[in-house]
Amino acid sequence: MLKDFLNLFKSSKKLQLLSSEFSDTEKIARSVFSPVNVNKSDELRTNVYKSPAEMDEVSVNRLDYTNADNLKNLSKKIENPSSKRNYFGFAILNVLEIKECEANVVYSPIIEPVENVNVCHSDIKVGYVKERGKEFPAEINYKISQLIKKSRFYKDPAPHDIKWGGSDLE
Amino acid sequence: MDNNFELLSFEGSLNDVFELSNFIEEKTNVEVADSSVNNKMLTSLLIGAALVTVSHDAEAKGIELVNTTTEKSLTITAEYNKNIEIPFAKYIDDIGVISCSALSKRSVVKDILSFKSLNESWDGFDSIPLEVESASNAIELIDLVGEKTFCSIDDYYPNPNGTISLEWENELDEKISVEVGNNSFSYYVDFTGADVKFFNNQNIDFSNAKRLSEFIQVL
Repeated sequence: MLKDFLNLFKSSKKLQLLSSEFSDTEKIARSVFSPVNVNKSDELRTNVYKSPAEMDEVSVNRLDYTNADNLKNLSKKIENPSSKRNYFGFAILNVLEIKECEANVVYSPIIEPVENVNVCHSDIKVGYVKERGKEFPAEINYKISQLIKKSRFYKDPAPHDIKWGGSDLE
Repeated sequence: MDNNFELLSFEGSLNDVFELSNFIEEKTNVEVADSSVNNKMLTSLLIGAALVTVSHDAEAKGIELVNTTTEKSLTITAEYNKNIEIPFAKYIDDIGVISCSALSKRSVVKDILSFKSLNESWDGFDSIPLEVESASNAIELIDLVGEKTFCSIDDYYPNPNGTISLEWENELDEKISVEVGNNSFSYYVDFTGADVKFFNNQNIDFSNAKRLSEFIQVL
């Protein structure tokens, strides 16, 4: 336990957090998993931008401060092929596009536990906290469908490789 | 009605077909007086069709077996083919509709139930499996909307908070997006040239499903 605290302390001392301000042109990346987030035509489903119950937080990363290889590494950590959750690629939006859909993005770096530290982590917020088992108002679902329309989806051509092998994420 | 179908494969020579026809006539007591060579083949085809369509035997019964003679066999067979064309086409259409809706409902229900067995955090971000009530409501909505209408669904998938989404879309990018929860459902209708229509807190009942069904049919 003491060792954990010590490691956390050391890592937090080393952490260089980013500015909490976003420029409109900043690129935001969301990890996409298959088959849960894509349909049979490999198009994004709206659940890629939907929060778990009791929160309004869709985990994303600030692409301008990292790169596709790091993002892929993070995504591979949380994939679970036995649960049919295979890393599949990225959906990219810039901040202005998120705002145009009347949603927002906020900086929310992960600083603990030490093995999960991610200073690029942020959250897209659609402005509505969902209850467990309660559907979104149709207006919110429409808002999310607009986020989908604006997203640029990059399917990873080699999801099993360590490095990103696709085109530039823009 | 039992809608189980089985495809029967039979490959053989022309003589095999005649023998099969004789065999079927013997076993089923179908009387085809003075049956010609042509009529033998038609008989075996007809009886074969009746064998694979247990629930559509009425269709087969409606087709009249014609007594032909050798001299007039070609003429009568041509007439026969003409008469059989309409009911046979209808019969094929019926099978197509039944198979489509039955298979779609079966596969949709199967998938919905599979969403219930998803693991916790199935999307990697603290999601929960599909709730029992949401699954039940989605299945009920299929019945209320109608299988044939529902058959045109483009996609359906679970959401991280235990609800389920159902989507219909056409080639014009017009869309109906439904989300079904534990107690109600919401949806929007996005048709070209019209304002997007929003419907919230819809009870799972006939009147609400009927309106949704009408939108889907327009799509």
